[in-house]
Amino acid sequence: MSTVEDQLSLELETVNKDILLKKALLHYKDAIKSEREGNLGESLNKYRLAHKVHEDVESIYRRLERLQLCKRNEEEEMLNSDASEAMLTVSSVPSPTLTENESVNESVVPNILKLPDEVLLVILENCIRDLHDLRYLSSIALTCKHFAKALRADSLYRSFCYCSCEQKEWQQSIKSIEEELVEKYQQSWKTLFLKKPRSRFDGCYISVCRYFRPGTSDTSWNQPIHLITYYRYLRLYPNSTCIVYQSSNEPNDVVRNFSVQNTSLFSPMSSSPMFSNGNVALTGSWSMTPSGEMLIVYPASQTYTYVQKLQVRGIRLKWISFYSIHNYTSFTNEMPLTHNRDYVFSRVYSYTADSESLKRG
Amino acid sequence: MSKIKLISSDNEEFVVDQLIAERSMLIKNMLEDVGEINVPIPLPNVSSNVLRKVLEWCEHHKNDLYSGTEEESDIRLKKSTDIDEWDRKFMAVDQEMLFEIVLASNYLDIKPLLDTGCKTVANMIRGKSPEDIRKTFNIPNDFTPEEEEQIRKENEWAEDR
Repeated sequence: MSTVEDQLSLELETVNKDILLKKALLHYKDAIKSEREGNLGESLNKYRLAHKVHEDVESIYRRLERLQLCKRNEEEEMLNSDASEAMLTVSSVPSPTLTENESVNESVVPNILKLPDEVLLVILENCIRDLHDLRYLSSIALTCKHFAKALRADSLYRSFCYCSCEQKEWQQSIKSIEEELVEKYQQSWKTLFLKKPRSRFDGCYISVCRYFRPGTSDTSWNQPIHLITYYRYLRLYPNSTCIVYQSSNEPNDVVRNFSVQNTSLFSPMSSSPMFSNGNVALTGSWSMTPSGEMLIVYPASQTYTYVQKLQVRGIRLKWISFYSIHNYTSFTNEMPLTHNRDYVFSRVYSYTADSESLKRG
Repeated sequence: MSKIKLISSDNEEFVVDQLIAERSMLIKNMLEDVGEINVPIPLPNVSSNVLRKVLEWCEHHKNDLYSGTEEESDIRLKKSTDIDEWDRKFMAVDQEMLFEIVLASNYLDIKPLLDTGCKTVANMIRGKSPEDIRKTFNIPNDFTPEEEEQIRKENEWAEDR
């Protein structure tokens, strides 16, 4: 009377015809029994054996179990309603069709994975249209193996490199970048993109400087020592200008307002209490060689120009030297680097929009 | 205006203007090779319902500037992010049809349509979590936890962008 029963008997018939499958199912049942009893090692061996005898044994076993469960449910319902409401059985009929759908879904390859590689690549290229979109990279790679593999394509990295170049992160023409690709980076755009020193405009470089200063006290039995912390802030702009600022104010108070547009930063008698400790920010210019040697040049006063020579290493700027140049005599005076620690880059989200508006303006 | 006969995989015949058919570089090259246009062109990879849709796109875009010689190196051209209003509506189809269109435009070599299709798919991916992307496209998660960790490490550098 019911489709479930028909299906079940049909399945059992096919199982009976296939001796191997029958054997495998027996092993599988054995394995489940051992697992229930706690003999995990033994059950694992039996599972392995079952799969070796017939590779689809698990799905077939599950299907049979489901059908048997359906049949049992149906019979129970029949007993409960006992012909008074024969209609009730209808409710249990959809379940076998549902299980069928499930098994179909498992084996069907999703449409997106059927696309040829070159088409998937065009899609991925459109997912990551500029450097800011790189934050999606991880999520896409973690979707499935196929995506992760596709994302390693060097042509993707070529377009990232073009973006970097366009945003002047390298201060070089694309032509000279292409030459470097062959000479220094074994033709791998990925290596070039990840290894080539670059300047970043979407954040702030901060160097934390600390030193101890012996203090004095009224009494003679203790001698306080002060730990002095100050910060050097550096922000680069794509048009080769930069701002430098040295202050004891914490990054949290400074970074958000650290921009050429914020004029109060540059006047000593600032009304803003945040920047009124006597230090002012200075505008200067910067340049970088292909190997990542960076020069920050800014006027310190009427007579002196300061130069910071730094080496780019990933997101760090390592000090090479720090000196002043006398504007009239060109006499240079090297300053000690004792307190100066590396600048470390921190991403600041508001800067991206900022530099965009600067570009347009 | 001369007419071209196209035959879909399920043997339906389509008669279209040459100008419209030649939005497909495949057909354009075939016509040039054959040298005459009265021979019907079989398209064994495209079914009639997909071909109808693709031809609808070609009809609407028949007067677009011809961009067949687009330099491959000019990646910036591809970067124009927006999909125009008509195309957006055109692409508002179920996923199966969307991927059929993408496959057909790849086979027929209609670059602008392929780009529009890929952009549409890309917009379904951008900004989503891995789990949401899987759900959207019915992709099974085939990573072991170790592999997942490895992929996470491999792409760590991109996080602060």
